[in-house]
Amino acid sequence: MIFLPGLLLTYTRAGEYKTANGSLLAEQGGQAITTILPADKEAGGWARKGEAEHFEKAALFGHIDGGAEIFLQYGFQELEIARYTRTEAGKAAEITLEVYRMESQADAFGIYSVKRAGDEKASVHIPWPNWTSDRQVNFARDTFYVNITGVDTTEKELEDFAVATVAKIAGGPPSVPMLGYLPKKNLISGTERYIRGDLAAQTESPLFAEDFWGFKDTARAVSARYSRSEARLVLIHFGRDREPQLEKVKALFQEFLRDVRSANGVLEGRSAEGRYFQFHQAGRRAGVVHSGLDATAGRALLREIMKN
Amino acid sequence: MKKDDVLALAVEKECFANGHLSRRYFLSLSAVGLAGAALCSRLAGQEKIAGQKPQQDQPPDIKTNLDEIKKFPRTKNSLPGLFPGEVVKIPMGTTSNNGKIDTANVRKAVNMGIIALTGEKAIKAAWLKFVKPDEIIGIKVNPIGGKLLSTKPEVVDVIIEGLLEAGVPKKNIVIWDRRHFQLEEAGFIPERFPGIEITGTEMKGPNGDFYDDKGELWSKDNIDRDAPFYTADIELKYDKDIMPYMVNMGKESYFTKIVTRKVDKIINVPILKNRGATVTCCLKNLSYGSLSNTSRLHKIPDQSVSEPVAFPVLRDKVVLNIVDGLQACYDGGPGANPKFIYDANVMMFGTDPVAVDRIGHEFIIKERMARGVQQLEDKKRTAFLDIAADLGLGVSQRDKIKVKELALA
Repeated sequence: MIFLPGLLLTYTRAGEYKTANGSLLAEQGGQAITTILPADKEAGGWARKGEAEHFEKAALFGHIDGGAEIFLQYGFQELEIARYTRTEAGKAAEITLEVYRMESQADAFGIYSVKRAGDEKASVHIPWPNWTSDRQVNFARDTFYVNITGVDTTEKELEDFAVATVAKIAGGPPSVPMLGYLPKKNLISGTERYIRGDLAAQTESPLFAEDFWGFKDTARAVSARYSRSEARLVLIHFGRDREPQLEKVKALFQEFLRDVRSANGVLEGRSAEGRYFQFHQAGRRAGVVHSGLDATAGRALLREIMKN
Repeated sequence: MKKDDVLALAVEKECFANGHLSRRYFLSLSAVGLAGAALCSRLAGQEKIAGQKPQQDQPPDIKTNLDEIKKFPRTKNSLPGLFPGEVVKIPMGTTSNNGKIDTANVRKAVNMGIIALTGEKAIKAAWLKFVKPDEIIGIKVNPIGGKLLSTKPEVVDVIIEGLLEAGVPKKNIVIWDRRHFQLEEAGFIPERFPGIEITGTEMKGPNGDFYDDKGELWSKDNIDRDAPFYTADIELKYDKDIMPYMVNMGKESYFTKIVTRKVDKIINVPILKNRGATVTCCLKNLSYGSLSNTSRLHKIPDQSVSEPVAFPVLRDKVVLNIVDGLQACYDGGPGANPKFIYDANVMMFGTDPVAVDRIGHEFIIKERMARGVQQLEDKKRTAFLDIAADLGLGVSQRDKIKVKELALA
C-alpha cells in the first residue's frame, strides 16, 4: 500500500493501482499490441509474410529515421509492423500494417490528425476518425494510431482489411476533450488537429516555429478549418502561466506579414497573397486565426473561441 | 470555475489514458508526496501553478566541433566542385506515372543533364569531367522509403551506363547507403545490378542477425574510428534494439569506411522530400547517410545536415549531385507517407549541393503552397543552406544561382 496525503492506494498487480474506493488506475494501453494484428489469413485471406517487427521509443529512428521525431513528440510508446500478401488471378498484392501505441488517446488522434491534409474521404465502415484511399488507410482508436499501406491493392481491399483490424481493438474512439472548445458552426469536418510538440505546431503554420509559443514544453493546441473564410482557427493552451506574448507575436507578424496592427488586444496582419492572420491572448490561452480570406469572419472566430 | 481552469483540466486530461492516471506519469513525479498532492489537486479540479516562472524561450546551444571542421585545408577537389552556383533542371513531363517509370525518358534526361552541366558534346567526355577509370566510384542513393519513395533503380541504371561509357569498370562501381537491408527493399539487389557492389554500413551478418554470437554488432567495424569524426554535445541512450541503426553511443558520430577508405569519388543521388517547411535532399543524403549515431542529431537539424559535409571525406569526394525527383513528397516527410507522395517529375543536376538544395527547396515549397499545406514561407527554415555556404560548400543565395531549365524533347 502507498499512503499519499488524502489518498490510499493499493498496488494490485503489475501496472495497476486501485484506490480505496475501488476505482481502477490502470496503466495506459492495457491491450497487448500484438493482439491487434490479424493472424495469418484471418482478414479476407491475407497471408502473413515474415515475422512482425517491433520498435519501442527511440528505436523508431531505426524504422523511419527523421520521421520518428514527430511521433516521439506525441508520446510514442511502441510500434508493431506486420506484412501481408495475397495473390488473386495471378496478381500479387501486399499490405503493410503499422500499429502505433501512443501515450494517450489524444496523442493517437493528434498524430493521426497531422498526417492528413483534411480533404480525405472517410469510410462509413470504419469508426471515426479514419480516411481511406487506394494506397493507404489511416485511423485512430483508443491509444492506437494505425497506418495501412498497400501495393497493388484496391481501396475496397484496404478498407476491408482496416475493418478487420479495428474490430480487434478493445477500446473506443479516441477522446480529445480540448476539441470540444472549437466552435462547431462552419467547422469543416476532417480538418481538426490536436497539436503537441513543435513539429506538429510547425505543420499547422511556420508561425509556430518560434520557441516562445511553448510547443517544445507544455503548450498544446487544437485547430480546424472553417468553411466561410477558409481560415484555420487555433486554440492554444500554454499549460502554465504565460506573460503576455503580444510584442513577440507582433514582431513575428511584422516579419511575415504586412499592415500589422492591433486593436482591443487583437493583433492582425495580412500576407502578400491577401490572407489574414489574427492573434489574441487571455492568460494561459491564445487564439490564432490564420490563412483566412475574410478578416471580419476571422475576427468573429477569434471572438467566439476566446469568449468566457 | 473559470474557462481557463476548465480548459486546463481538458489539457491535463490529454495526459491521462481513459481518464486514469498513467503509471508512467505517476512515477515520473519525483516524490510520493508530490504525486499525492498532484493527484489531489486534479481530483479537486484546481490547477496549482502559482509561483511557476514562464518557460525559457531558447534551448541551450549544443556545441559541435565546427571550429575543427573549419581548419581542414581546401583542395582542388573541394566542393562546390567544377560548377559552383549552377543547376540544370529538367521537367520530366509524365516520365513517372504513379511510380511507373518511362526508362527511355530517364536515359534522355540524365544524358541531357550531364552534357548541359559540363558543356561537353559527348557523354563519355562529360562523365570524364568527374571520374577516372581507375577510381572507385560510389553512388550514394536514398533507399529509406523502400518501394514507396526511394532513389529509382532506373536512374542508377543510366548513371552506371555513363560510368561504363567513361571507362569505369563495373568492379569499380559501388552502390551504397547506411542500411544494407533498406537497399534491398528499394530494389538495389545483385540480380538487378550484376557485377556492381551493393553495400551498407549497418548490416546483418551471415547468421541473419545484427549481432554476432558474442553479442557484438556486425556493423561495429564498418565505422572508421581512426578518421576525423563529427561531435555534438548531445547524447541519447540506445537499447539493444536501436543500436544496430546507430552502431555507437556517445557524443561522436563516425564516418562509414565506405567514404573514408573504399570510394574515391561520390555521385550523390538523393530524392526530394519535405522536412517540415523545407527540403531534405543533397546535403542530408550525404551527412546522415555517412555517419553513425545520428538519432541525437535530429535535435540540431540545421547544423548536423550541413557541417559533416565539410569533412574532407565528403567535401573532397562528392563530384556530382543528381536529384531523382521523379516522385517526391510535399508533406509528411522525411518519412515516406503515401498520402503525400506524388509524381513530381523533375530532375536536377549540379556539382554544388547547396545550390541544388536551394532549388529543391524552392520546388517543394511551391508545391506545398499550391496545395494549401503552407501559406507562408519561413526563411529561417533554410538556415542549413547558409551554414553550408559559410563552410564554403556552395552557393545558398538564390540570386547568385544560375538555373538552366531544359525541355525534355
